Amino acid sequence: MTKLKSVMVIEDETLLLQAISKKLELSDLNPISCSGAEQALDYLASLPELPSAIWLDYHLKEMDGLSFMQKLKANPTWATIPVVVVSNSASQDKVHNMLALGAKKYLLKAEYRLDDIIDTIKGFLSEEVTSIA
Amino acid sequence: MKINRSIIFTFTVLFALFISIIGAYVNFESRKALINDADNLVKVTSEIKTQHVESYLESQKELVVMLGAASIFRDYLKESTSTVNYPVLKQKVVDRFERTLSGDKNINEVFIMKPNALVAVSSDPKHEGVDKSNDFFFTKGKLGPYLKDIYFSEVSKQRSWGLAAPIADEKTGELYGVVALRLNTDSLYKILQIKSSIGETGEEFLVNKNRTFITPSRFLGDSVILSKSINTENVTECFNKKDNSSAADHLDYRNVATIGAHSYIPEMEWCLITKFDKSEVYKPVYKVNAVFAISTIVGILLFILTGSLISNSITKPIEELQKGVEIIQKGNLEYKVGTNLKNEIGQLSRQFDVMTQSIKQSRTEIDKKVEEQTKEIVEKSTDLQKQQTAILNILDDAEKEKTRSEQLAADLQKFKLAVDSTEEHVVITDSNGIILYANSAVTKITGFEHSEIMGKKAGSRELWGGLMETTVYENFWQTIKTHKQSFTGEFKNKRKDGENYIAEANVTPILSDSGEVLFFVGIERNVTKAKEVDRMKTEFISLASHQLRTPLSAMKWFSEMLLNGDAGPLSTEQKEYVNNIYISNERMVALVNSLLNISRIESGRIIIDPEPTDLRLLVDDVIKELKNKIDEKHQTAILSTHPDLSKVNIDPKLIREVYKNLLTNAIKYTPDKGDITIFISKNEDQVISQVSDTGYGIPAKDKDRVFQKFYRGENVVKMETDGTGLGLYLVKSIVDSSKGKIWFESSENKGTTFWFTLPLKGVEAKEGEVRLNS
Repeated sequence: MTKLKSVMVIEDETLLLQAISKKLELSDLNPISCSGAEQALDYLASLPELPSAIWLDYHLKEMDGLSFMQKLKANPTWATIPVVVVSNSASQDKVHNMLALGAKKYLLKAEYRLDDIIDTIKGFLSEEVTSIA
Repeated sequence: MKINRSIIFTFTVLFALFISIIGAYVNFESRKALINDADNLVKVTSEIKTQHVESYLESQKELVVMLGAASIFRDYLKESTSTVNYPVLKQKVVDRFERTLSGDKNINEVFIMKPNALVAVSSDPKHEGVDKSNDFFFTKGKLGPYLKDIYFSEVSKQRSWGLAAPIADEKTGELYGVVALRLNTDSLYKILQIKSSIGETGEEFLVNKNRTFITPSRFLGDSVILSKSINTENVTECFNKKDNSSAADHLDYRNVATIGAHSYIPEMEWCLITKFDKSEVYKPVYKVNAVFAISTIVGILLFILTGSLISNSITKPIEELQKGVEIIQKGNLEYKVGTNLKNEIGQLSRQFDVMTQSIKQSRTEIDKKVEEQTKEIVEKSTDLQKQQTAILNILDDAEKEKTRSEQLAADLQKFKLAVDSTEEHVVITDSNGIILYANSAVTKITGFEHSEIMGKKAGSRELWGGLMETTVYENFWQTIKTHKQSFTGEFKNKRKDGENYIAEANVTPILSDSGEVLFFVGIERNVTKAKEVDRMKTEFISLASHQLRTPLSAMKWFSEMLLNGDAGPLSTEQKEYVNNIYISNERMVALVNSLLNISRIESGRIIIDPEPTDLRLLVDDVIKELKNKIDEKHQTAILSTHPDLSKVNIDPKLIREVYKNLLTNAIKYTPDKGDITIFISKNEDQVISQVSDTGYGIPAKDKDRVFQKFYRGENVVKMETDGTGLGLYLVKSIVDSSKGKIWFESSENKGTTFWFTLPLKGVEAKEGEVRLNS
């Protein structure tokens, strides 16, 4: 059995985090659930293996999504992990800043089905594979 | 009648009269001469033709007499049939017959008869033995030479005539038989048909004693022969008198007036009629008449022409003189009648001019005197009037001035009161911005006392200004002072106590007639609170909406998972309920999106980012996006565009929203199989989009509320529960912000058409903070 690819989910709403993680599992992915950005940075630093993608919310309780993104991109080993931002606000400046920092996609929460978002993420995973191959 | 015309008329009448008399005389004489000639011609022709016929008859008679005397016939007739010699003699007779026949083609048959009237030998052997005892050939022929009148031969089936003569002993006169010839009429007719000199209508024909034609008629042809009887005057006379006549007028068998003559031919008891139409006789006269008539007309025309030329030369000077007199009568004494003619008329005209001059001179003198006296009187009267008017004016002016001053004072007081007590900050400055007037609201808004303000520069650092970049103030002064235009904008100002506030300002230069700035009038309003309230309202909606998205996402995702069977299979009923939750949640998502869009537009923070856009592609794309919904209802959507529709500079994201909303409505509120048409046209300065459907329509009583927030048609709310009532409000907001117009027409249960315009030159870009759907 091949090892499942892992996707890190950073979302401070417990219910949403629960739904996303469950769906990732059902989609043959291994979710790494984080309810805050600090926790996510800790995981990245301590986990034996880096996640294949990150699902990031913008509005988070302490450190927000943008600061997390800056920290992520500042670290060369983490910088290559594809990030998909899923937020309840997609104002011009937020989208602009995130994409400028290298986010792969900025999606508006409630507009997309879980299936669709996970398909999008999977798209970036396979992209990774092909680029390596 | 004018002189020249009466001269021409008289001469023309005389000339015409003269010519007519000559014409009549010539006509009469030439007719007489022609008739004379014609009579002679007819008579001579008649005589010649008669001789011709008679000599022909005579020659034929001689022939038959000669045959009668031929010994061969006698010898044959005397010989008994039983002798050996008989056949030889008969052969000789036959030979003789053949010679006779070959000598004259007109002879059809020659035969001899015995005294018992039986035909003995004939050139036509069939006739031998025929009994001729009742035939004139025999009965008259045995008495002496006989000419048989023209008859229709039953034997040869053609017209014939004949001759017979006795065969007798020379001395004793004993009759041995009779010889006869039967001839056709060709030779005889030929004689009559030989063209004589009696013209186009002339003819000659023979009439027998039965008064019947025996030769053809020129006008009626061959059919008359032996069939048509003729009883004209000259035929009757001919048979009565049995003579040769001279020419005379009579009516012929056609009842046409002719000139004719007759001759009696006693041998055959025939009459030869020679005649021709009188009209032909007169033909030359008609020709002469025609030439004469043309010459007369030409003559009269020449007469009129030369006459008018001559008379003009005489009457023209007289006319000019008359015209001159008329002009002078009307009062133009400057007019000169004088002509250069050397004759009496010329002298008369020159005399007339001399007379006119002397009248003119005396009149001028009288006029001059009258004018001088009148002028004196008028001058005196005018002086008097002027004095009177001046006095009246002074009184009037004084009165008016007083009233006007009072009125002005009252008006000014009203204005001052109004301006003083208004809530707006009102300042009037000179052209350098030095404050000349400030109302009480200035003190209230800025905190500076009236005395602190007067004489200072408006909006300076010393007073309420100076908080903003210097370029802002520079631009402001440039607008109002250099460009002399009115300025509207916001300033960040500070009160005397240091508190900042935002002022919405309008400053207008007041110009003199020559265009110089006299004053500036500045009106400002403190909008700090209003702006704050506005901002809070927008922020609230925005925040609330964003916050709503989190629970909406949770509901969406969990119900999605339930429906997917991620938490185990659901019963049909469970599935239905969860699906209801899912759909309701989607509506809430849509509602939140609409509310957000509206709050963005209302707050004016929306970004307008125009780019050249192909509207056809844009609408096509929207239709593609909505294709599932269209197909689901089996509807047809047709897009057509103006052939020369170029790209328009608009914000495609915003305008897409307009089309999407209008089309979504059209699909939603049109029953299955309905039609939706989109037509994009343009005129000189606008692009006009039209979206029509064949749907339920909008009730007439709701028409004014269509673009209001949360409005949904009463007739459709029951049918389509889904809908926020915000779509058209959003559409109108976008169209308005794009400097366009939107309107519609609708008829219940027939359909609705929406139109909206966009400026052809495009929409100006606008900086802002937000976009739709974010």
